[in-house]
Amino acid sequence: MPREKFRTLTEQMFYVLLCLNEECCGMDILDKVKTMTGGRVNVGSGTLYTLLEQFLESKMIQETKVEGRKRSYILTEKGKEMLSAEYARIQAQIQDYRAIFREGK
Amino acid sequence: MKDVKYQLETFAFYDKAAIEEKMSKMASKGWLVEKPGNLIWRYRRIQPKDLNITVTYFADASDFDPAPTEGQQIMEEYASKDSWNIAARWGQMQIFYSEEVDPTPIETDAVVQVQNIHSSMKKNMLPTHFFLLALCIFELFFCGWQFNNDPVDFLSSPYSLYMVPMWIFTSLSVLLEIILYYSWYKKARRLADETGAFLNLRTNHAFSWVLLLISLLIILCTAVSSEQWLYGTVIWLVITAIVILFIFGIKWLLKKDGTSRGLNRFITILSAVLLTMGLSTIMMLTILEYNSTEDDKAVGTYDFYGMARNIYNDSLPLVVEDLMKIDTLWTKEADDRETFLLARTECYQRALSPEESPVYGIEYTILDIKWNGIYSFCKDALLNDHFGNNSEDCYLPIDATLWDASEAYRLHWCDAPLNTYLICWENRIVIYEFSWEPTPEQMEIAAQKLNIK
Repeated sequence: MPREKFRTLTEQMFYVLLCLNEECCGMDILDKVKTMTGGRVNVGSGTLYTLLEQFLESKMIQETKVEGRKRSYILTEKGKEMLSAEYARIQAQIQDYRAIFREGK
Repeated sequence: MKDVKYQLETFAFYDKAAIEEKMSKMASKGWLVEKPGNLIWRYRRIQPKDLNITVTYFADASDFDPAPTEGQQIMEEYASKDSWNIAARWGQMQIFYSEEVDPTPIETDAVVQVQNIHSSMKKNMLPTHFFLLALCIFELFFCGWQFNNDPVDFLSSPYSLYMVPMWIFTSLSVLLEIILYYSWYKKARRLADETGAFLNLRTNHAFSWVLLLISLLIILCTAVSSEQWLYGTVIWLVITAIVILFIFGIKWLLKKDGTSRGLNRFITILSAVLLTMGLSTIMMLTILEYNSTEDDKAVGTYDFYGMARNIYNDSLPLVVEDLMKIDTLWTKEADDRETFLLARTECYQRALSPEESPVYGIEYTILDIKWNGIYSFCKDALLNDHFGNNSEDCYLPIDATLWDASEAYRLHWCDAPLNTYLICWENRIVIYEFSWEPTPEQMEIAAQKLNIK
């Protein structure tokens, strides 16, 4: 059964949204994600374009500036909620992990 | 040395792995794709080098766009940041190349990637294939209707009978492509959702191409089965080629002119429909005109109640003169057609001045049944055939000994006998239509002439 869209965020979705906590243009997101994760996560240019369009359509981000083909975006309240929900999910996973390995000891 | 070359390529639109592999090989030989297409791809000469090639799909693009859309340009700018350069675009497909050893891939999220491909396919290959499949099914139903209406005519006509396997093979080829795509899509979506990996497609389309080639072979075999079909098929192929070239030409000119996608699509489709209808009408009128006046078999023309009709002098196995002494001028025509199941010959002998002649003529249809398994079926179909859906006429059995036949029938209308007889011999059925009531002696002669025992 396919996952419901944005029910959980992939790592790339997560970091793209994280970058947009501050106003940022599409091109800069590619570098920001690399820097933020120490090169661990790479967002492809095609994937980035598609994700930005999907986030716009879902009103998780909004366009703040258009200068020719350079567009800037920022997170909306809905986007922040989705990020928070994902953060909570990851936290829950961490707790479960610790519980298992603490018990294992 | 040529700087451009054209090559036949049979990729499925969504088979990015096969396309990438082939384009990489071509680049290492000094050729970079410049213009992909349905069958013919254009390459331009470059320095041979090892390039990374990637294929992406942009669902919002269209083959009718005069220029890359703003979205495409934005995406290509993002891609250039990771050292990817655009090599070619074809509708929703974009082909990039990079000289870097290990560039960041353009697509890094398998779920998004599969979604993009499916969205592109819904605009590109899938509507065309479903339309073609629907057309094949419609044509097969039409064949079924024709068979139901007049099964003997259907089984004796190469054009009708051989079209059935042609449409079957074509529909199987199209259906196979659709099934292959959805099979890949289902697996790719599941794999992307569950593991985040992208399922590369490496299909072999040889089988669906073989099915399509068989269909074309059937058309060619049907075409050469008679001169008339050959001319008809050639004309049909020429019309198809003209329409296809015209569509591509119009689309290209409108794109070059900067016409918007919607208007380009509308004008192109409308032009194609009008041109097809126009050419088909001209073709039909030309054929009708040719048949009525310029027939090679005709030896002259005569006036038939104010209309010019052709005079023929074909050799007939049975003529009125075999049955009686009569002095008048005739036109004699034989028309035959044949399949591996049935051979059908329709013969006509008519007086040129029927109002002056006491006997108008004779018509008869000879059916040679090549496979005994359909003999009863053909006989029953002929016996059950009604003239103009008039259910008051029917064949009633008569004494077959006069005809030296196994069975004989005479057509009646409202219980009144007509001068039409259906005679059954081994592997041959003949329908005689006399313009007078034949005597027993004349029936014997008519039987001797057409009985093949």
